[in-house]
Amino acid sequence: VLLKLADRLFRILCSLKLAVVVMLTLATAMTAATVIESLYDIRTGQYWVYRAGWFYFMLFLLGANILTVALSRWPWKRRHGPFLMAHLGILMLLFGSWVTWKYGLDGSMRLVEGQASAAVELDQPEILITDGNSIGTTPIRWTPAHAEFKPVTIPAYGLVVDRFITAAEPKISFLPAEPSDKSAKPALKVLLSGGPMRIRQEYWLWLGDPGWTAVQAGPAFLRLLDGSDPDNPNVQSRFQPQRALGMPPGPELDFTAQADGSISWWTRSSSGEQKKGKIPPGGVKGQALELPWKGGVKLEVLEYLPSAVSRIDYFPSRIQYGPQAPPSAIHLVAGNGGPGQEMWLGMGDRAVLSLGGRDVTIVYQNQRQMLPFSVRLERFQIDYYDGMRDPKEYASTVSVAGGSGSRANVLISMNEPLHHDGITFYQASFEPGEPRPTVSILSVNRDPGRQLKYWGSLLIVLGSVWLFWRKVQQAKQAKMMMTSPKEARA
Amino acid sequence: MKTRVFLTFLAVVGLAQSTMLSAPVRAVEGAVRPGEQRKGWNFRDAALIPVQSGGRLKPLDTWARELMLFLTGSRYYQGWDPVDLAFSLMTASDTWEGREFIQVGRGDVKRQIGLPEERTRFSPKELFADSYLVQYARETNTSKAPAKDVVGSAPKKDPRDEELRRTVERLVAFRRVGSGEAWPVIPMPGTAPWATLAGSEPEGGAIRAAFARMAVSHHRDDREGFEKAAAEVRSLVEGAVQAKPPHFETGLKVELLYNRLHPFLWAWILYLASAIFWIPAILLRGSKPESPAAKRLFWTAMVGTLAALGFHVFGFLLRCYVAGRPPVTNMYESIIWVGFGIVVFAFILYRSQRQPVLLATACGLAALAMVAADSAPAMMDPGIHPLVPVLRSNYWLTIHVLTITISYAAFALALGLGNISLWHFMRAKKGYMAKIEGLNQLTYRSQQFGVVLLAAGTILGGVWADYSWGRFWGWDPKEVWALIALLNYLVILHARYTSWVGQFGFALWSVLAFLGVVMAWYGVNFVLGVGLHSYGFSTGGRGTVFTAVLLQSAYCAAAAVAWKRHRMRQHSGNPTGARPAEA
Repeated sequence: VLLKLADRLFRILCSLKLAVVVMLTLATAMTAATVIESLYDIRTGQYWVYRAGWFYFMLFLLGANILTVALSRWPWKRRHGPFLMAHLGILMLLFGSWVTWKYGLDGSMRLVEGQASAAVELDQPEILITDGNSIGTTPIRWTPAHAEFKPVTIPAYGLVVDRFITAAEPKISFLPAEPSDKSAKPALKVLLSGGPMRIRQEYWLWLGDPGWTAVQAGPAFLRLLDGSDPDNPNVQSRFQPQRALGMPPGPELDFTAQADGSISWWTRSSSGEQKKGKIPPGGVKGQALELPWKGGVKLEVLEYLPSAVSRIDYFPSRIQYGPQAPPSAIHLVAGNGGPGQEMWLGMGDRAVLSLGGRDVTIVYQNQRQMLPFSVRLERFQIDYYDGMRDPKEYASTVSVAGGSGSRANVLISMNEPLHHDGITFYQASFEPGEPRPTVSILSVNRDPGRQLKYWGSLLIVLGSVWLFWRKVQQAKQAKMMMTSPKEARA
Repeated sequence: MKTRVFLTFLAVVGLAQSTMLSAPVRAVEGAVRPGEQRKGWNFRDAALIPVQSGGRLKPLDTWARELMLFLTGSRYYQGWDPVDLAFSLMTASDTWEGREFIQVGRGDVKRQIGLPEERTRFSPKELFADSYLVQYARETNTSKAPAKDVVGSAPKKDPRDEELRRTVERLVAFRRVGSGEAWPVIPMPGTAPWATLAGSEPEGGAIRAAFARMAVSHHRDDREGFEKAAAEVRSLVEGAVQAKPPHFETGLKVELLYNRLHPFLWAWILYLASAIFWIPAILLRGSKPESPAAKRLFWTAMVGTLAALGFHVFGFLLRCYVAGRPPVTNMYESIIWVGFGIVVFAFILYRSQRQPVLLATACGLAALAMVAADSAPAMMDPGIHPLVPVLRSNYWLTIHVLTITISYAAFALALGLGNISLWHFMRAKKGYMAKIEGLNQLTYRSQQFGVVLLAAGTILGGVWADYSWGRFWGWDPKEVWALIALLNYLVILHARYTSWVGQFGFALWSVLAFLGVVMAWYGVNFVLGVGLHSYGFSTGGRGTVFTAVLLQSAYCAAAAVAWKRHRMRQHSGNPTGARPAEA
């Protein structure tokens, strides 16, 4: 019975009907994929078709079909030559593609002039977790915005990635900190309103990060200072607002967070008039400051947190598809997901969590592979067409260190790649820059299936030429013998 | 570049022309016949003045032709010599201001701007007075982001927006021709872009002076003065060109010959005439003994076909010489190449099969293809342009693209033959089965050519992609559609091989499978507009192609219905004596 079943399976596999069905299915699927790509983007097309399990299965079925058909002609005779050659070529091509997919490397390398790197970035994201003893990665499947994301659990740390935003934009906010949190610093939220432009804008100031201590709010310059900092007696001279040449100085306003929870403030208007004041602890909310500024600009202190931490949340971006869409973000939950046990991580973000008494560093990034050698960009050159801003040619001069040998100043240009230790570097693109671009993007590739694919391709072409040429010969013979011009079955 | 165009537009809207060159010209007394053609003048020297535009050096004639096409939307605007027109636009711009010669395409655009839809051309005066257009120019100017990734996918273009933008650019071009800013004829040292007549670089003093004499002579209708000044400008500019490419002067002359002869026009006229001669030649050939009239018809058609092919090849060679590369980088060039391939395949098959229907079909298809290419210059740019960086590896590019597109030619021939088979099925006249078998055999042969070439070309594309991008196959839409087309034909060949389809099914599917080719060839670039082959992207022609596809499908459906009826009659015992089709 088993033999009978195997025989039937073999018959189905080697039938021409299956071949036609598979070919038509592939053609339909690929049509759909190109439409999806046109409507959304290439990654969405890959998600639904090219990298979907069923598509791989169809390709596998095609391979199995061709193999069984070839075997079914056993014992092979001379007249099977061209048929076998063409079909063996297709098998080799399919197998070579599988080898490439399984064992190949296809990524990109971003090189800044004068810097070296060994990291090849792939196009799928992952989570990198480091604690004192170990380092591990968990892949995250990129999912288009309209598809459902399957949560990923990382049991070793009790972590769950429960949400994924395909194209995410960050929004920062400040929260009261736990008493034990050492990174907590004072944070102040103010509202600027009125003026000739009738603005109404909120600003956060925070001492936890140098980038958040000062803000240029229209013409006004606001800053928050640390009153408990002993190195800082004359704070006015430490920061100076950036001002365009020839512009009159705008009004300035300094807040100083005192250790007792009060805030003292000092201002100088654009005409040079100065004023001071103090807000007592607890008397902050909704306090409008009496400022000597012109134009009826009002400043209100909305919120003051003597000890605050920052938090980044991610929201879906307005642009969800295509090259302009921002990168993805994930939402992580640790334990029961209480306060401080969940967070958002954008592409490239890093966070430190305390899990089971250990400090664990979590990074969300693109998967990367380290090369056994490093590549350094010496110089990026670009040429333009006569009298135009269209690039004619661009090239990178790189040096390779490590691996089987070091090489200095190799030129990688369009269509002139660099081969080193079985890995090939191609000039892919560049990031625009002024006065000239200095960031080169190389595509990095290792393809162990290349030989198979090339030989397979050659066999396909030679086999089909031979096949059709022989048919022409047959037709000629048939004509000479005055029989029907229809070909005899091979 | 574009931003500057818009800035200039804003600068010129509402401003009186006040630039260096046209001001003295206008001051000259005695304008003779302003805005009229200078019939009988010799523009050869003027046409051969080298200019730098669109990233390469070319004769002034090409520049003037591109200008004329861009402004009027036509290659032959009321019999004007393009160089004459360019000078007239400069020296008689007041006259042209009120003339309706600037093309605005697309009805929806005209509706949007508030212009009468039934007219195709408008005067600069009425366009400059259009507040919507001015507003549009201002908005576009502020929201222009530079394209970043050269290899990556470009954002899709909205055809209506494109036409609006082009209309604004046409007006800007008109004003800049008048002001001299559009004439890039002053060579600069090194790789600096050439200066225009409107500039004030010291290098251009002598050229500007001689050019002004040309303009003044044109203005005064002084033929001799113009021709003398033109020769002077030509030798001055040629002398000032630095780092001349090899055969520089010859190249300019060849390009002028190519422009003036327009060999592809002659080719399609001859193809069309031959196709018309082939029909009676074939019909009469069947009668035996062969009459001398049939013989004469046959040879006339044959000579016509060969002459057409001669013009075709000659034009092709000229274009290769001018561009310095095989012409395969845009729709126009690929259609010309496919037309050539169709005729060549027909001759190859004719050598062994001796069926004139092959040549007739090929002539008809080639004429159709080249009329299509020639009739829509706005959609299929006939200009010769430099290549984007990724295409600059000439060797692989050439082989890959030539192989793929030549396979389209084989499939097109199969399409034509398949349609003739379907015609015979529809009529089902006595002895039709033998004819159809012969036709299908030819269809089959050309499909075999096509399959081998398309497979080889797609694989070569993989080799090229591997060589320059590091991946053999990347699921790029162009690759994918080539593969879909290939799979379609493979299914047909396998189905015929196992007799799943009869003669009718084979003819029908051969015709329908060409839709895959249309998609791979036209659809990916013009409809989908995504992927790595973005350098070939464009818009337009959707209506025409869609109508053609619909008509073809309707024809197939009609043939299927007619054939079904015919067979039902046979089954119900109609004693026509015709043998069943699926024998």
